[in-house]
This record gives sequence, C-alpha cells and structure tokens, in this order.
Amino acid sequence: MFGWQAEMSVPAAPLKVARVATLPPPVASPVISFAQALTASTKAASNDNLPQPLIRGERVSMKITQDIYEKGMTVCKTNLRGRLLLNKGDKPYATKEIQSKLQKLWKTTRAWSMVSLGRGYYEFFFATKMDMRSVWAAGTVNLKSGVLRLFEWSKDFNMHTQRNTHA
Amino acid sequence: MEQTLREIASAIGTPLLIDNATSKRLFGHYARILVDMDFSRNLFHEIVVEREGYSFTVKVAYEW
Repeated sequence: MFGWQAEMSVPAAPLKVARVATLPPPVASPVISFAQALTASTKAASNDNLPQPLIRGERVSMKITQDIYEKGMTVCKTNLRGRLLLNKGDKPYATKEIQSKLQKLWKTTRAWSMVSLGRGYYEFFFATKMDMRSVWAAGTVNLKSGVLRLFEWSKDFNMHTQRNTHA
Repeated sequence: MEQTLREIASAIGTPLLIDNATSKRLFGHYARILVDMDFSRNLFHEIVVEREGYSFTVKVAYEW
C-alpha cells in the first residue's frame, strides 16, 4: 500500500466518533490525583468532606472539624506527660535510655510507648486507662540520676511556654 | 487524629499519604505528610489552625 492510500483509508474513524457522542455522559467518577492513581495499592484515606481553607492575604487558616478533634482527644485520655529533671553536670539521656529504664520499672498489662517533646518533656502512650493510672499512681520516678515527674495529659500543652521552676 | 492532620494539610494542597513515623507518633516534634500541590498558587509557610475557641500556628517546611 502506498503512503497516500493509507491516508485515504483513515476516514472510517470519524463515523465511530459520531456514534460515541450519542452515548449518555459517563457517570462522574471520584476525582483522584495523579499520585493517588499511582499509589492505588496503598489505601489512601478519602479526601471527601475536607473543610475549605480560608485565605486572608498572606495567611491561610483552616478550621478543623470539631467532632474529629474531640475523638482524637478521647484517645489522649490514656496518655501521661513527664518532665525530666537533671542536676547540673548529669549526663543527658537519650529517649531510648529512659524508655529501657522505665520498661523495667513500670508493670503495665500492655505495651506502652513514649516520645520526646523537647525541653525535657515527654509524652507517654498507654494502651489502657488502667495502665496509665497505675503508672501515675506510682508517681515520680527516680532514674538515678535525674527524676521524672509525671503529670496529667492536658490539651494545648506547649513545652516552650512552660515556666521552668527550680523549686 | 490522622484525619485532623489531613484537614490541616489540606490548607496547602491535597493530602495523600502520612508516613509511618507520623501516624505511629514515633517522633514528637514534626508531622510529615505527602501533599499534592498546585504551584501556580501561593506557597504558604505557616498554617493557622483553628477550632472552637482556640487557634495556633504551625510552621510548614517543604521537602522536594
């Protein structure tokens, strides 16, 4: 077949296109991003019902959904916070060192975890309220050297605005 | 809690994935989230997070 013949044989296609156009419009599929399409095997949470951000000049603000926030607060009810107090000259601890020391001291029914919040503050996550209460009841922990003072979890805690008392 | 984080991140784009250290809270200082962004729009380095009776600012660092 010559090149021009191939070109001439094409015109069958437009007819098909015309027929497609008579089909009802496709049902709107959920909008997914390019990256979501690529990571289809990873279960991505739905982005439906996300609140709209508010842009005021150079600032963007987002009002979070209150009941989701409150659900998150409920989870934190089994947390405790602690402050590590060291004496001058004491060797600072790595979080892992504190964790292994506490592992031996605290008798909890389920596993617990901790993270450093900075400035000597730590957050402890317990699986049950009972575990949290038993640890809290045991009170201040002597780590030799240094003491870990435990206190109740509260919302909007900011380790940077805490007053450091040296009483 | 992850959902609230997605809400906060959606202020700057479309939240996609939250990494393991963030979702399991293994590291206290930062939250890391993959966000699909439109670069033709403003790039914000702070997000004001609001809820009933309270608001605070989170700093945003971009990795690319």
